[in-house]
Amino acid sequence: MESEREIAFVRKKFADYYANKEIEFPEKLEQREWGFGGWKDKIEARHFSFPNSKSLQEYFKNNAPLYASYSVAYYKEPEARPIDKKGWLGAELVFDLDSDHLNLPCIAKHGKNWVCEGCLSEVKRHTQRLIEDFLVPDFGIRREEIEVNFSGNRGYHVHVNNEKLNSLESYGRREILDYVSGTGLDFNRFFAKQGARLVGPEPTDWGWAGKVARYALKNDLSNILPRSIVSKPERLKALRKGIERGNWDAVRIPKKTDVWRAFVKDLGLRLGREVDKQVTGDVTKLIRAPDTLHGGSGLSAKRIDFKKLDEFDPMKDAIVFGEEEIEVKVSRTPKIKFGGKEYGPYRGEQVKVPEAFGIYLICKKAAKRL
Amino acid sequence: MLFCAKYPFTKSAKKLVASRQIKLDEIRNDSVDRGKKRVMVALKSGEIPRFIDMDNVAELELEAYAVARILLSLLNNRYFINRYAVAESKRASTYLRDDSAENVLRVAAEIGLEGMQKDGEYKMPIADYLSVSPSSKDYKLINKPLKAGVVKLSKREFTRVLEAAVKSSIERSLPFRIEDVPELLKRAAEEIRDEAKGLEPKYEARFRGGEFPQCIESLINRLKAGENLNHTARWALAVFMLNAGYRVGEIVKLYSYAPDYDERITRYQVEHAKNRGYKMPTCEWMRSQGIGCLPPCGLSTPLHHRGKRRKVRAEEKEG
Repeated sequence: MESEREIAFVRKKFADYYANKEIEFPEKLEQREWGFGGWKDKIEARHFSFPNSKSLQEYFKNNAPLYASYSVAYYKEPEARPIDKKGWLGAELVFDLDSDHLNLPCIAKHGKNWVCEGCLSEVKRHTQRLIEDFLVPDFGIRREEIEVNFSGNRGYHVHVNNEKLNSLESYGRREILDYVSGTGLDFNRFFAKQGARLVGPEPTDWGWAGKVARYALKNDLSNILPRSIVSKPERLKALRKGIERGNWDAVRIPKKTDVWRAFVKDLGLRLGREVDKQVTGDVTKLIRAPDTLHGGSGLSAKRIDFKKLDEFDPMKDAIVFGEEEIEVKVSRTPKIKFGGKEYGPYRGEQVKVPEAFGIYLICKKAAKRL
Repeated sequence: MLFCAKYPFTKSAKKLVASRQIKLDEIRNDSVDRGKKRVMVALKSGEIPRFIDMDNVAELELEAYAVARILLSLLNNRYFINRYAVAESKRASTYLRDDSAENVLRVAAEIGLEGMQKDGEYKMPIADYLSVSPSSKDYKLINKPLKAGVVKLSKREFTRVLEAAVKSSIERSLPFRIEDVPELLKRAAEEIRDEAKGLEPKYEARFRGGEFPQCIESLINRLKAGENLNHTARWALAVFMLNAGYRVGEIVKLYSYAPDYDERITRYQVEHAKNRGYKMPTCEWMRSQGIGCLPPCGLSTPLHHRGKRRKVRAEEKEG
């Protein structure tokens, strides 16, 4: 294997890290299933369980896994297999927000393997919207029941620990995902014609109805409305005044139903293709353990106080390795901002870089140790 | 008493029946007859009629319900049980619709659901709602008024949600183990078995064995056996069929085996799945949901199974 040197190097670094790091493990540790991964797969072995944090800490010290995940579910016997023998007791509600799901135009520039500041700030905005627009106001989840961590690579994980929601089966979870992603929204239920007049939701309405009205008042509508309206502030103002009272027809808009239908269609959070969402609705999923290292980046899946999410910069704050220089041969990369400095783009050259960035490149499989 | 007769599945009703301490061999002929009738009419018409003179027959009705449960346990037929559960829940629903808010909320509480009512407007906490709400577009969470963890519902909607809850709780509670059954009850069960011959769905499926991967085949067989597959299983089956190139109409027919089959709702759901263009989940996902092949087939997706009809749609999508 040509990557053996790299694997050994990364493993050694991970082992050093875990040797001195006390990790804060999840609630109900003894009821969780664990899975660990290596260079090739994020989960190479699963069905592990640990009776207490000491035994788990030992495991990390001895094995320095490249990836560590635990079950969102709690089980009577987490190590039993197959899964239906484990005795499912419930599961946290987990949302997996990945910049890869957002269909951002910058992907074309830097490719799927990399993230830029744009990706990271957009996925952060989605994470904040999930919490502030949905979980707290609509689902009534208390802030202390929400935990956010960096995924370790391209996004954020939001864990909700609410006793009643924990018992939901996958149907209920999928309904929640559909709700936050705006899937299956029935336009005709919210809008109706009274004669020729289009009557729609008001900002104070409950659920998506109110959301649609509030977004219409708040969002930039210049992309969806005809120029004849956008260019005249007084007409925009009249439109907004109408919407505040549920009158969506205060200003004449050609093909109004189509215009608003298109507007409503794009309001949900982007949580990936249907298949990715199925995974999030999966009540037996394993998810990255917060505060452990991600073997695809060498960054920490750091827990974040979400009041401080705004200031969090993963390419600075999730770095755990040092500044000491190492020499690597880098294949092709775009320009990368890491630890407050810009690097690259590289085109197959040998460079000296800080260890943390070197490990990042090696984990991305874009560099070799020299 | 009247409350218990109308809603014989509630805690109060169970308590009342238990307090009588009636032994199996003391069950009256009358009650057995009524119990048998209750099951038969449910199997035949899918409904159990309500009584106009409920006050007079309340006690008998309550016993009849208990007898019906014994008979269904003796018959031990999934299709019968599930069809009965549908009818029993519809019956409850017709009473609920006309009943006072106080009684509606009491029924909810006695089957383990929280609810509130003010000025004719009902509310239910989201976790309760999602654990029992019917999977149709009218009850889809995204189209419901939701705030601070509570779903707002009309009385009609609230009772419809209770109906769904009653149905699944009856399904889950039957059959139960029962020993030393007196002749009278055994005979009644046999009579039902005879009379109900031919009531099970006879839709001659074009779906024959061998054509499908084992996981899908097992779902079809469970459906044919009258099992009320859960939402995930139904969804996976529909997505497979769609991706394997079957038409909506064919798939809808397949679901006619389900004891709660409703053509309109099924068609809506299958079409919805088609429009959303769901891709087939992987074999690993199927296993994680407890509906994968056992022993594992070794494929990555059920669509790779040889002998499936065609993969046209899936390939078109990939391209």
